[in-house]
Amino acid sequence: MSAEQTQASGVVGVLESVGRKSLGLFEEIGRFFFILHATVYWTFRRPFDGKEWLRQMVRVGVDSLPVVGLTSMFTGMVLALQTYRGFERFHAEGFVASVVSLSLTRELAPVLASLMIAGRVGSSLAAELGTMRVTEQIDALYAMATEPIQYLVVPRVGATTVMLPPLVAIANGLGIFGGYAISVALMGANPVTYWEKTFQYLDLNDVSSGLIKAAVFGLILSVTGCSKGFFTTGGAEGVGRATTSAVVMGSVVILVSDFFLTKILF
Amino acid sequence: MATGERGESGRAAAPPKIAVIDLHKSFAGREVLRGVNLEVEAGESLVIVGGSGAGKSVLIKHLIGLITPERGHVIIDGEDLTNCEPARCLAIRRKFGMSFQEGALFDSMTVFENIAFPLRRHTRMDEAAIAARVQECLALVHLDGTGGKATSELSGGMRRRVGFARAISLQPEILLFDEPDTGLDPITSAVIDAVIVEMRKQLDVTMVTITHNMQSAFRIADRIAMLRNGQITAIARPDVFRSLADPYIQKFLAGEPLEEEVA
Amino acid sequence: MSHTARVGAFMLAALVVLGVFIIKIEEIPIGTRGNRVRVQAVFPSVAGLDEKSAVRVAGVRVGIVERISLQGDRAVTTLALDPDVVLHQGARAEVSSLGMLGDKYVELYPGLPSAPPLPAGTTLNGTSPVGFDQALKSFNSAFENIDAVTGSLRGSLAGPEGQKRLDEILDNIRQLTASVRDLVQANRANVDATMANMRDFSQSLKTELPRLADKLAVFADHLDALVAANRGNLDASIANVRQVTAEMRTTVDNINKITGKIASGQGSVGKLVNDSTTVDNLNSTLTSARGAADTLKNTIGRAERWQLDMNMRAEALPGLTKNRALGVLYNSRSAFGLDLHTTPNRFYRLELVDSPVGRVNNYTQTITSIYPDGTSHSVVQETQRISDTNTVNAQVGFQYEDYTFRAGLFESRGGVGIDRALLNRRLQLTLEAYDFSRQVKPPHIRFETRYFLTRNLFAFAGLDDPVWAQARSVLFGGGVTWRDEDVKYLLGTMSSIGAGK
Repeated sequence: MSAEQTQASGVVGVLESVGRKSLGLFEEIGRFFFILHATVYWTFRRPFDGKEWLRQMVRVGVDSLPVVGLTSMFTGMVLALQTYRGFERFHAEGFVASVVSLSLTRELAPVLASLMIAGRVGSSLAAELGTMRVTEQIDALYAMATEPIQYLVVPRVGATTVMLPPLVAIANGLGIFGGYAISVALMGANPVTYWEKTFQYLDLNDVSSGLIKAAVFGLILSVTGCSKGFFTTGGAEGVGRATTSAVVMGSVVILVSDFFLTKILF
Repeated sequence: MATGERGESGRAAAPPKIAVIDLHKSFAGREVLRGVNLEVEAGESLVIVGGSGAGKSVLIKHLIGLITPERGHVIIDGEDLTNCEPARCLAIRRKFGMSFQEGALFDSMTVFENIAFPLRRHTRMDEAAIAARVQECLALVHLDGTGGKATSELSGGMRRRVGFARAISLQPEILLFDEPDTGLDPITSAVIDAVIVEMRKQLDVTMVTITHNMQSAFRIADRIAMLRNGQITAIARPDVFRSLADPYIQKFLAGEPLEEEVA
Repeated sequence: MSHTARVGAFMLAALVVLGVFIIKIEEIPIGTRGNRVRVQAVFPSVAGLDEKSAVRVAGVRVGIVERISLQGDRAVTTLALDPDVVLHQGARAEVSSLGMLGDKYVELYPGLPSAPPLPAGTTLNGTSPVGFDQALKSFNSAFENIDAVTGSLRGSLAGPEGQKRLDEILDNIRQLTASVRDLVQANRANVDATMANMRDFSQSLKTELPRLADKLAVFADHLDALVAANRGNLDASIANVRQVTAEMRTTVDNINKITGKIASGQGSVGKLVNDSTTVDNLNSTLTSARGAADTLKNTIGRAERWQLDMNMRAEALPGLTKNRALGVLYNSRSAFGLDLHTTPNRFYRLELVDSPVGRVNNYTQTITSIYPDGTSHSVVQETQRISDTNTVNAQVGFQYEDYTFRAGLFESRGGVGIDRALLNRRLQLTLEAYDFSRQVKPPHIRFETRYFLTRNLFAFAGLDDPVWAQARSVLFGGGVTWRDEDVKYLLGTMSSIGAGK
């Protein structure tokens, strides 16, 4: 009798936890779109805080340049190294440049840069807003008749979305330079041919779709970070949780949306 | 409950500054507010007291619209704060100044910038005027000369006072204090109360304070309300409040344990 | 540095990178003097050529293909050339490629410097490289020319002078046919030799190796050795094939030339005078030639649908003891043969089977001795002969879904059999009954379960002759089957090895 009961409650427990998990997921998605919607709503309302925008643009774009640049450059170098070894086997070394430039502009630079930014900026957004939430600074903003979405989230999301495409453009350049350096200096490829091949199969569409991707990723990762931070509960521990899940969620959503974006854009 | 006291105050004729009507709110299934009714007259200093977890903070956050209720209304000067356009909500909120438990200062800014923040946000004052106003506010809370400090350098009591200064910088009509003396020693606590009383004298404001410190409540209140189990169980002038027969209030005043809660 | 300045510098860097991309991708000419000159060139085909592909003169890059469009059935390209490229009359363009995997580009031949410069707006004539499809096309046109020739011959052939030449031509044709026949026969000899080798091979396997496992092992070794030993031959034969193809191409070219001339009425053939008999002869010859060709085509067409499988198996019959009286000579059986599938449902099986049991023939000889005393004495002498154990399976099989019915000769005796395929044709159950006329009454029954380990290798086990106590035995063994595609490959390899030698 009692065994049956515990069994039944076990089943109920499983169902409950499944239900709670999926409710949590819905809540997460709901928060994401709430922040997204509120951000769009408040972006086009006065006052426009240009100073804060600039500050965030420096923080997201300029300060991220070293890490994104290094990532991209080394990716380009590895790509050249690997494809050179492979293409050498059927005497198609000339195509290394095309492979490097195509894969960087279309895919690697936007995705890797976004992932790095998700780690660097997404987490700090979540931590910053989360701390402000648990120390009631966000409430204080409300109390001072300042919409925290407008004051905090809009410039952060805006700056990330605006800064990712130029960041990726520079990353493209550095990645291609990395591939060029390795192929020419280490593999002895012909510099002129390499340079020419880099652009021969490249289409403006390849570059622009990479930049569009980057903007979308920037929007996604900053909204994720902000929503995680904005809805933080549970003190310092909650801030830590929000930070971690901002990076994890941001990265996963970037990779998933990358697939669908690629489907749509190409 | 509170109806008996209305007549006593003798100010029923004037429209209330703040009216709270049948406010309900629950968190994760736990009912925190179960039908709060409250009216605050213009220029009055109301102190809401109650035990920990009675819902005091939740109530005061409803007053300024930080939390939306499940049921009920908060009316400020005849405008419903629980049902308004976002932009209108912000306009209503500009009537408020609020001091938070731990100050809630923006830690990315200095003391000066904290106090100047609402001014920069909501006025077109030039920098000189802003600086003057900040000095004024800092003087009011006896913190002259601390403007350049980082918020992390401040003691607990100083943080509260900087919070006050920030709350009054826009010359609000209503000041809300969320537990202004939590975690402070009695002397600092008395200093804070003195600052509140002084501010009230100098500014023509309506004040709502929540606290669990009865001493401080008697020091600053025109009326004291008791919030218990999510409802206002008593509201009276301090001298009347002190002599109310409610056993819970007596225990609360004496700082004695309540049998049912001990068990 | 203020925030604004830092963002500004950052944006500038991004714009510079983007600018380089745009300039390089869109091929905006920077640094070249003046504007690019546009020239149109028309090609029969620009397959593999893209917009922005390079234009080269003597291998030097001088511009790009700016636009490709279709005009009628030809491709019109606009070439943007550096202004210092000067084209002369007689200039032409060609679609060329860098190496086998390399890009296609347009090679420009600017014409002789002595020739006057090309007037502006001239469209260049372009040629496309000869690809495989083009080569086929030229074959076709050769045959079309032949058709035209025969047509004109039929119309105009007559006259005593032409007769002689005609005879020569016919003689040539006869010689050609003869050599073709020789070629075929030579090949047949190769095939025959191969088959014979295989037969010898299987026979020697049987006699030299009493044990089944050894047989298979050595077989595998032989196979290895065969492949290893012939790798050189293989290469050589491929080289031969290449050479032959090359020769063939020149032949086709020659035929093209000749027939082209004939068709246009050049040379003496075109001027043949009237002679009705010649025409008649020629007509009948052509008719019969066409008939022969048709027959050949039908045969080839049908044969191409045929499928040839080759089978080889060996089995051990441990239950048999050698017994001359019963004709049991060996305790193993091996077989080698072919399945010819003429339709998907019908096949003919021809197998050489080395049977363990020979046929016992008893001869009775009566010797009558007549003694001097007039008495006679007759002695009846019985001699026993055991026929050869080399027997034949010659069967016709019908496949009906997973069932196969076979009838015909089983080890040189009449019999029937049924196969049942299971497990997606990996497993096959077989029941055979044959030799109905033997002395021991119930006929020879054979039951076998065959499992295909791979597509080619199979193992099997079963019962042989369970109804005759003295010859009853379990059987187990293994074998190889080469399906049609394997056989084609195998025969191709072997005949080319033969040819290589």
